[in-house]
Amino acid sequence: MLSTATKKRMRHLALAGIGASFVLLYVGAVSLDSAAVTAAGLITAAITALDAWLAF
Amino acid sequence: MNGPELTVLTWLLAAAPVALLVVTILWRKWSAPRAGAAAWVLAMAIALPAFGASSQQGSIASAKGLSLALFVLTIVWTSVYMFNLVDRLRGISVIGRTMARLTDDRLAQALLVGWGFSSFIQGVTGFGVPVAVAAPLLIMLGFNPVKAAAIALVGHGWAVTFGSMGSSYYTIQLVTGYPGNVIGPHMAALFAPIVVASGIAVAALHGGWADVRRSLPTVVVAGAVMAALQFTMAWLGAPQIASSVPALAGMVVIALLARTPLFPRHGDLAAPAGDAEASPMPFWLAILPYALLITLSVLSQISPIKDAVKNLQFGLDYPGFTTSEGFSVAAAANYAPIKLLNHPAPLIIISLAVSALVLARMGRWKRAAAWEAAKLTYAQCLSTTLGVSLMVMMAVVMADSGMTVLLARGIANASGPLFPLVSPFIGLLGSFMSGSNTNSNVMFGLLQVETARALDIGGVTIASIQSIGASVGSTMAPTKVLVGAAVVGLAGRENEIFRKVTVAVLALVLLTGIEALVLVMIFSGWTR
Repeated sequence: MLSTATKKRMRHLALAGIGASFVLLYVGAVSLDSAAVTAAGLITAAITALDAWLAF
Repeated sequence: MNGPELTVLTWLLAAAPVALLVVTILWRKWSAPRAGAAAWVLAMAIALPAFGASSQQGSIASAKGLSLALFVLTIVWTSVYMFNLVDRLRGISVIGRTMARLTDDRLAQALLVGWGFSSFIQGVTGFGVPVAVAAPLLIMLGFNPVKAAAIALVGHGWAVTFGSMGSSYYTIQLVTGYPGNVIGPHMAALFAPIVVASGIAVAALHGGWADVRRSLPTVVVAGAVMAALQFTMAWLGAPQIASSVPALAGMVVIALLARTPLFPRHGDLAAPAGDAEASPMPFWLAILPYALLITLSVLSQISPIKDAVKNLQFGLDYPGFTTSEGFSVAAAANYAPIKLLNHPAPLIIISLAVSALVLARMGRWKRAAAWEAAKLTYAQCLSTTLGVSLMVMMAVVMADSGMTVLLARGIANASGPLFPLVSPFIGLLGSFMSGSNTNSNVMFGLLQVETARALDIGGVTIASIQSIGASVGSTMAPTKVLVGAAVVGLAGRENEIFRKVTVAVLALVLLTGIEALVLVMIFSGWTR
């Protein structure tokens, strides 16, 4: 079980994660059309989703 | 081919992310970010292998979801900050007390605060704030806590879609693709009976049929004025003030009519509200940021101003694609643009900046209040930001992989001609489980329109009815009822408020469904 303080920190990280996902997904899939950057975006989004699932 | 064939298996797969949201929020009592995270992961896990979307297409859809979320969340952040700042400067209590001084009749106060003032707050902020402000004010005026919370909840249900500076309205417009000049006035016209019925519901919650009879002329006149103004604002292209302006006008009409024979006096009179001289600031200064916002919203619709700033906007371009199952998505240039003078967020920032200058000149500006409001806004919006982002990502992944269209085709086949009656309850379901009209529109807006298209009935009407059902239904969402219970000191006794609210809300949503059914059956041409 996560402590309240840990959950609180993870909530801020989730917010940062969703912002980073947006940038990586757009740059990877639209601007650069790069599989590597797109994969990084998807992984970041998946980690953010896991973070949100645990923290909220 | 247009996506996978409709079979029981493909329909169940398409329904799975939405079903997961419903089950996890309603039964497992997960928060919106938690449920949204799980639903987005599931939507991606189904869209890629079963609906033929590539990982790049799933990424494009997810990024589009975040573009859409940014459009909505900038409204949320700025409007919540504006409210918190005015509240920290003690302006909200000044506005509330001034409203309460307008009449000493308890029923008139219930209508004024519970129907008018809570709707005004919904118009300018939302997100549970109307009940958080109006319910304590009613208690301050001597109302029973359960009644106070129920009245504040039901009273602002009509104002949610065009409320929060129009965030839910903009969302349904974006997800369905209907232009504002088509769906805005159409939806506002359909809202008219619900506006009046909300006033009747407030009177019924206050004192049963006796109070409904006593207030009926006032409710009908005030409701007609509110509905007419809502339509006018939507028609003028100012949907962001299509709740706040009618609500303000409604308060004026109620206050005026409460002093006439149209509103028979009753023995149940309240004690006079607080002394005007104890007020921390003059009323005009308290209302200044909102008055500026309303003025700017109207000015921004004047053609020369509109034309001068039309290129000042931020939006991203997205490419079109076709999934391996043959479902095509068109390219979107300047997707979900944030326009300088046609989006509430920049207008709120300008209004706040001017108000801060005026307050500073009058020696009433408190830097600490601005900082406190920012911290509070961040804390309040964190969960909403994650919840909206993840749910919108899920919704766009479903839409761009063909899952939503397939789901709609299945519902169309099952419900047939009774779909308009079912439609607002789908909207209600979305806002009930997510606590948000906006989220409901994201989840079900396109689904409803696709279903209407499959049944060859009016898509504009169904899109409007979706949002109206969600608007009214959001007031019985557990998240809002919990806020209501907490602010009136009934935490742990939410079911007492919930029971009162549910009957009124279900009646209003049923009325919406009947309205849609009648329109679609009798005036089918007008509803397209």
